[in-house]
Amino acid sequence: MSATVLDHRLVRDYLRELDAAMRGLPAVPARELKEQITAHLEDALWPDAGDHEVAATLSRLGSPADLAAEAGATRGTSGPRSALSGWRLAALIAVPTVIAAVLGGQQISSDASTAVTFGRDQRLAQLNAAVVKLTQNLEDERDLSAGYVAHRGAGPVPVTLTDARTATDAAARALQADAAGVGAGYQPGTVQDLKSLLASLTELGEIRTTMSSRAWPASQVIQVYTENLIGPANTFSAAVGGGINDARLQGTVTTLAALLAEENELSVQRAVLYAALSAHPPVLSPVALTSLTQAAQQQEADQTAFDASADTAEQQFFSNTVSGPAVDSASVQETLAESTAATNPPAPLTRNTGLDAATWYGDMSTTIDDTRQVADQAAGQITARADTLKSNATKRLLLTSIITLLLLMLLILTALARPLRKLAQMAHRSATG
Amino acid sequence: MAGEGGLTELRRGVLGPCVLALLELRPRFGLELVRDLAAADGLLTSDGTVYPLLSRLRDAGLVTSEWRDDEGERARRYYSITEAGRQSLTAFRADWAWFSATVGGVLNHAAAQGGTTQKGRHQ
Repeated sequence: MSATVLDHRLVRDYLRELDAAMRGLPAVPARELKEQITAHLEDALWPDAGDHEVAATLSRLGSPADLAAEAGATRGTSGPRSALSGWRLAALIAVPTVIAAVLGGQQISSDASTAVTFGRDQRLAQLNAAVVKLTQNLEDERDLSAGYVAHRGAGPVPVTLTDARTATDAAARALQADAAGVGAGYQPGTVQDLKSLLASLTELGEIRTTMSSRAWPASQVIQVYTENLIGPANTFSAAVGGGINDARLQGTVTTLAALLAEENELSVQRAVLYAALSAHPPVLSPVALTSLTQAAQQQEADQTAFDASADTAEQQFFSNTVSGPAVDSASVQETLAESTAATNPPAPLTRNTGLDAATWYGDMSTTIDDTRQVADQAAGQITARADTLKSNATKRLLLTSIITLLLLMLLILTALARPLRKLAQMAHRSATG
Repeated sequence: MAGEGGLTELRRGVLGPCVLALLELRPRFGLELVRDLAAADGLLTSDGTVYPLLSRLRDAGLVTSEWRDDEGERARRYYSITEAGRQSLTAFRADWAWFSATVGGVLNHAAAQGGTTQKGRHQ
């Protein structure tokens, strides 16, 4: 062999260091690296290269320890091949994961929004139940108020009316508590109806004081309560179905609205005749008679609306519940009062008729309470249905989330399994070979 | 910043595909590869690392080597790309395009957002 750069002092030192550094390596790769490095130096340097040039080339080559480490430590397990499969691995995991996450995410988001929607329905159903309760209390207060003002000069407010006012106030507070948080996300119409109803309740105190101090006639008391307070409440209950997202719920809401309207007309009849029977003399004026018959006619129209909306079971429940001696008696008393008032001038209602304020109020209240039972059942159905829908939607959301999570884990594990198996095989091979 | 350590890891990951890309054009011997890679500024930490890499690529079946005894030249070990190497390179190209676009997108997006925030402050 002619003179070669391998004979250079610095190169010899370098190759000796490399041999020493490669001592831990298997024979084949060690021999190969040595051969590659010597070929590199022979190609890179002329045999007569100066110290300076040789030193620079060796320095660029890197330290023997680094080269040996690179050849040994990373052999077969990492480096370019695993860099390549690293990219593939990343893509292999990322692509299905992203797709699964996006699809699962969409489903979760849709389920979550359904749950939120049914959560709102549930809230509205509870709210409506509170409004129904309030309406019933307002009706009682109105009718007792009408009797109170008709019983002119009777002095202190009777206990029955005080109790009715207390009940109304409690129902109003319950409604206000339930109404908090109903705003964004709900149907604008529903929110507006609720606002009007809550605003109307602030007039209640003023109505009560004015009623006594200004000596309103009973007809005016009935009108003010009906139009200013019960009206907004019934408007809310009738329209709340528009803000609800389930057809069956909407159907029951319509049924309930018809019942509430009927209940109100029954209550107006009670108020008008109770006020007339409480007055001195106990006379039903032509104007009051008109109010009474109009309320009765409206009640019949509401009954027709109920029959149209209610299913057979609900109709059956109504006819079974709103019945009995008191209901029949109230109907007879009303007919009797109408015929007595039809004379000109109207005869005193209590003369030879057996009619009296307390009996009428009691019997008509039974009719109204029976109707309220049916209404309460409908309100309960609405709440129960809304609760079920909400609970189902929540369960579905939970289930979808869990399934998506499991799918994601499965995908990642599947994507990892092959490369991991390969790694394990390589480790095994390098350990045994 | 990533610093030298991060850059080394990056280089290590991409060096194999770069070697394959050079070999895709034609077979080369060791020093030739080293010089071509060194010509691409910043790709090599040290010239020597190419050799263990070449061995690994060969073990993985992505390149083969053979001795060639060209006229007037001494015998040299020439490396050439295999069919598996070509496939691997094609796959890496796609992965790299996707990866660099993704990383670039995230980095630029972050930079653009920073800019918007600053603009917003002026208004």
